Amino acid sequence: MEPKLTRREFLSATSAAAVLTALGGSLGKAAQAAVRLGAHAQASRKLVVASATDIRAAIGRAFKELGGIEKFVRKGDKVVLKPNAAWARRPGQGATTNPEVVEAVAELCKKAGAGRVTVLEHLIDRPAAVVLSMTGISAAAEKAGARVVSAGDELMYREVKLPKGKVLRKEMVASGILDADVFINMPVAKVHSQTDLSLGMKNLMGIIWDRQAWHTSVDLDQCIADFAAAVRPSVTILDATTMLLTNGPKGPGKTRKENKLVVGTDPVSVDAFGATLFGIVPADIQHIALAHKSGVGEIRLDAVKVVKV
Amino acid sequence: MADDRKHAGQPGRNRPRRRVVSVRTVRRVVQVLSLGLFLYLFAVTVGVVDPYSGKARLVSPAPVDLYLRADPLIGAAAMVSAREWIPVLAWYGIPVVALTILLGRVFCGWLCPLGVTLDAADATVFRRRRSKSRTLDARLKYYILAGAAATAILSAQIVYFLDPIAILTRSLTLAVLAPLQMIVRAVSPEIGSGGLFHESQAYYRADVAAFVIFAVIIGLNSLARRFWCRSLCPLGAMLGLLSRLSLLRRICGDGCTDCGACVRDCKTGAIHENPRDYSVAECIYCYNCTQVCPEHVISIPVLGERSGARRELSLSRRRLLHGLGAGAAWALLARTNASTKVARDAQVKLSSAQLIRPPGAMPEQKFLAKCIRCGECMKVCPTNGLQPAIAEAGLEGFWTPVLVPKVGECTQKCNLCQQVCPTGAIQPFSIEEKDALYLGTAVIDRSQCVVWNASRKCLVCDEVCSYDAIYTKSVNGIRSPFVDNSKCVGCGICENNCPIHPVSAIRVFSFGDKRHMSREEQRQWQEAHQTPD
Repeated sequence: MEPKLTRREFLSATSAAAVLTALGGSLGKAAQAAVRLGAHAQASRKLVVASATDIRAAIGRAFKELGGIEKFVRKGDKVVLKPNAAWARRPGQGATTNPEVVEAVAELCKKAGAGRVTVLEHLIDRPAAVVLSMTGISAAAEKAGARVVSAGDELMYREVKLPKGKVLRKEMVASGILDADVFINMPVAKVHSQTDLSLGMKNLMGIIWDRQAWHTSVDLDQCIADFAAAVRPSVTILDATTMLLTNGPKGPGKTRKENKLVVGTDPVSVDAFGATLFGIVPADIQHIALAHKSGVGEIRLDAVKVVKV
Repeated sequence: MADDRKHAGQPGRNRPRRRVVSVRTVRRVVQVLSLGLFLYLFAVTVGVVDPYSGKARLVSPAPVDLYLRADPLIGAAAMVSAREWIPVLAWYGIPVVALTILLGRVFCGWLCPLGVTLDAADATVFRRRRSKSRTLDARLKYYILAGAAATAILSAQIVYFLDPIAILTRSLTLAVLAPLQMIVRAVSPEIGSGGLFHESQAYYRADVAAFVIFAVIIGLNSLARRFWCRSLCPLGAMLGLLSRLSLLRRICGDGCTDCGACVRDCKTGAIHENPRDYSVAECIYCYNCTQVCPEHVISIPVLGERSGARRELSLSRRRLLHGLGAGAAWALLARTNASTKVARDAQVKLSSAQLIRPPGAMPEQKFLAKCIRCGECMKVCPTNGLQPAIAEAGLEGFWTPVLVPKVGECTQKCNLCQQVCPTGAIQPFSIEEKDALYLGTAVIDRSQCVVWNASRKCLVCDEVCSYDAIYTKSVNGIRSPFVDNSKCVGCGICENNCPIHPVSAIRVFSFGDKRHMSREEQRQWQEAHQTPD
């Protein structure tokens, strides 16, 4: 008598195979994630500071100085923009990224032939629709033909291992970032109650699921540095058009119209220059100093080529 | 011609049926449309952003609480209980009352969404069931109505537990919505989040209790058709009392053979043993009998002659007194309940209670009298923060809305809850006015806060506070958080984001709740207490 495959055996075998395949696939993806981000980023020592009274022109000049947008965005690429849009605040209050900057960058990427441009943020204030409308982000994205993703659901995150982390060893990162070809970090320059300043590397806290865990860990600043070492944006555009000087990160507080955009591929240099705009010595900001120590980038601005456009 | 008029009400006399579509069919169509409308209004009780003002408003301009407003039992109970004329309930309820006086309990038979649900259950789940109906006396609902009236007069509120529209709305919110969303999300996370659902998976307390009650009401149909409607529903009783002058009168023609088919089929048992007689107060005008009669001798025209209408209710005076007594007993027990007293006192005294009412809520006494526990505010709250109270508000406050910050904060730029409250338990307020509405005050538990007890770099509460109500001072070299009581409105965003679980290290308590002050007084208080930065 030939042994027959029972229905139960068949079902359990196929479901086991399906589960293993899914697991294997996602594990493989996670491993590649840290490598794929910023894949065609340039290891450039150039830091561009654009005078941004005309934002669109400033963005154009900045990218031209860095070799053209084509060096960052290839035809058909999936581009993700990560502004700071976590708070229900209006543009001009300095708590969120200037929507005009988001619009200009999205348009430029589209012109370079991007397949799809997504604006992604893990919001803190609710409801998402109110926040995205108030910050001007949803209107800006619509004008530029980009879509907006409010990553407010745990299902939208995947685990990434950080083997080189000193405090942070793994993290749930937004799938939208991990699956992108190009990741452009677009922080706003503002003060912060815990980290003194919130610039590019701090802005990366908006792509993880559990922000609270960093706040209760042994060292918040080391977490920021660890994560910056693992997740490198293709380029960082620090929005210093309106800077928040007091009551950060949410405001409202005193603002200053600086009208500058700081663009670079070295996250540490961008943040270091951003610190000088506040009159602060970069090494005095814990997480910037720790990131430099971990080799994420260069904190000494005299070792970097600062180009004003 | 005279001959035709004489036989007008007797279609069975060898007269071909002119109508292609029976009234019963029309009734069924109207029922489906009514339930559809109810479910549509429920589904669109969701907030979206108005692109022009950037403010949250309901996704549909239609009054989503239409059925609740039009429900005369809710209107009467809320107005009597609160001793207040509530215009919106009156204007919407009067047409239903007028309809019932003119045509009898057609609301029950044609419009009531719970009635349609029960009919649908009859037609499907309970199709093949009991050979003999086991019913409770139809007069029971009048005694229940008497009890509800007694509690309303004594300013307690029992109608929420007994009104069919409130029950249906609340059951859908607490027991159906979240599980449905979970199922949809399992299939497609994109469709199951946002849109007509909450942004992320919604959670509700008292979901099991709400489900059980709902299931029991439907399950009673296994004993008899429309069990709830015929024996328990106080709205049915109220409409029954109003229906005695109905212009629609059931006529049983000469060809009746006493087969009893209509008696057995009658949904509410309105037809007497002698099938020519029927109780006007029980008939819901479903027109089933007109179709089921094998001789086709039954009709229900307007102003039919020779009708067999029986208008007596024959209520037992003793039982009525029992009903009144039970209602009064409930009211007295509820109002002397200690937890309720604590909740009432919570407003004016320094209270360590965690009873946070929705913004714009009336002072506690009035709130408990007016709130019908319909669940609309709980459904529309975009953060899912409004939940049914279990013990926080005492016995009388059972299932009234309270803010549970750990589930969801009261987000700053939102005034959706006041847009959907049918009775005005939550008074209207604009988003600008909201900044001066105090729900309570946050308190830091230093034994749990990791800044205070472990010198960690947290201060998330400071980060997320929309009102700048958290300030920091250096304590032993560590930057530590404090709450500024004059600025804190008790929105709970700090408690919601605090990383300590399951109980946050910063929690909102009732003291500082300024509902007993008028809006103007609250604004003045806020101005007077502005601390310089």
